[in-house]
Amino acid sequence: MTLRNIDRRTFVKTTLLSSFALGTGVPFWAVGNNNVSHLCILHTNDTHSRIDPYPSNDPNFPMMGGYARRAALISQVRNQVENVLLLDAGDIFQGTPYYNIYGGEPELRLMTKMGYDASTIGNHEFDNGLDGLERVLPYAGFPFISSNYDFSQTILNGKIETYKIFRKGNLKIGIYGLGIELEGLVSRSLFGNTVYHDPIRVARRMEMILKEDHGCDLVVCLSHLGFKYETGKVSDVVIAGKTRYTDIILGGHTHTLLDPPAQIENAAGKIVYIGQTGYAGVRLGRMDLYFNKNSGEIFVESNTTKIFKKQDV
Amino acid sequence: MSKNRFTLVLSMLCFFVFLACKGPEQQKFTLEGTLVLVDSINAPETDKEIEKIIMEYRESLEADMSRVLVYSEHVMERGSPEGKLNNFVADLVFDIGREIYQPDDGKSFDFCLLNYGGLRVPLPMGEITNERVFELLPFENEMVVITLTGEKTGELFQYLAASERGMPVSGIKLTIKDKQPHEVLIDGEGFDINRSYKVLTSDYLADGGDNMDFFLQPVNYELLGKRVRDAIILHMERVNAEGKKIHSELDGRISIVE
Repeated sequence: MTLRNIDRRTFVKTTLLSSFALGTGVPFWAVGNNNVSHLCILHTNDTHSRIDPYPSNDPNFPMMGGYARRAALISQVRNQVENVLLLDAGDIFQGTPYYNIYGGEPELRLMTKMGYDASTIGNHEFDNGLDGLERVLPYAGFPFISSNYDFSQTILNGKIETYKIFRKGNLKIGIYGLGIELEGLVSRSLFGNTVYHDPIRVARRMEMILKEDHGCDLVVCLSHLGFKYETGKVSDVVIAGKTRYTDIILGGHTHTLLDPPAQIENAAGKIVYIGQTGYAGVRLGRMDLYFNKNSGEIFVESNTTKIFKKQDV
Repeated sequence: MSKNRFTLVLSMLCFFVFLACKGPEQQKFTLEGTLVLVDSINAPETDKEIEKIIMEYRESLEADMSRVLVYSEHVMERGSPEGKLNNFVADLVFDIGREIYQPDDGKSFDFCLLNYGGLRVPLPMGEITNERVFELLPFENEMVVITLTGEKTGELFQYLAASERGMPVSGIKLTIKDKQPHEVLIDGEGFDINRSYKVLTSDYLADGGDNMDFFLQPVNYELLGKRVRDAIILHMERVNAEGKKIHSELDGRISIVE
């Protein structure tokens, strides 16, 4: 697998030269080719109410992050790419006084303004209880998707989506959501009668529905399970290995930096891509996907660093 | 090289056989992903409409949050098995707890245990604002004194010894050997499994948070009616009023021995 990757990368290098010549960041073969669809997925996780950038005396991220700058980056991408899917993997709430004072209202209003398509529910979304979440939910002009939390015996009944299908260009994208076990992590008084179901079983059911019943071109899992655990506890890596149709997992909770996305082989021997962006909105995750509707050939990838200068902290 | 090529041909062959059996081919795509730093290099301008919405909230927050509570002599970060931030927070919560806890039996708590995961950001050197303390401890957790049997207290030390993360403690000295408690001193005295202990902690942990199951079904549960964060703010304002700065040292209260 590693060898094949290296081969592919060498190939990419030679072909990228010609694509750069166009100066658009779009590979040469995709230009004017109606059979190729370009989808750009932008994603965040564990943004933790970090509405303002970190202050200049922060030891780790001085002047980094902040919603206004993230929004500018998103607009930049929207100006260049027609089909953008903007997603969050949970823990939008908690971390700055904005949440303590306003309970999540500004976060959800601002994400709506940025054009978020969907989010899943992180454990910190329960920090003001189910009442607290229900109160601010109307400020979200985008759906929360959770497939393994059963809210039917709570005040959130009917307010959270089990899965959702999005259409971007000629692509049909199915999204489901997985949340972490709440027992031992969140006070029972906060999550009330929310019932947690086994993420592996739920993931298998969801991907079948999205792929077989709905014929989705792409199946995305928004997960707040965490990337990987030493203990073997259920995680994104476990989900990737036990599913067959899930193409991408956008994760959170463990505040992991995955650059580039992790590649895990699934139960059918196909590659699942796992993305996670650290935390606090210091980074924006970007995945560029090129589909070919006709031949099903595997194409070279685009170079996203052309558009953005990549940096490490 | 030829071996690789052979493997490639073989895997392609298998792939096509697989496709033939499978019927319609699955959708294919290529993907390249990266993380883009949200900073002034990648986004020289900020989104003005977003700024406008933020301003609606920021102004009322700022007045209160930008208040400087105290100055710090150095950066304090959390660490394992102990950290400057761990020690700073646990010691001052211990001190404030001793002031406000009015026990029915006249016996104060023996030691303080908080959690590593609860310390959300480091404290910088210099100005410590109200906002920074909210970020350090964003949770609305209250201080609580839990009375545990000797046996459950033993489980607590097992938990500390096995934990990968340094839990903030005050009033104890613990050495760990092979992930087991080696030597345990509570207020300078050896741990005695035949007596009960009172532990100052947060209601989050007392309710079994961070898998601290030993706190469940305690002998006694006494809420102190004060948030952990408020205790920290109170302490900082006092230090500042005395014209001093805050500081913290590592003192080997939790250490690993060979």
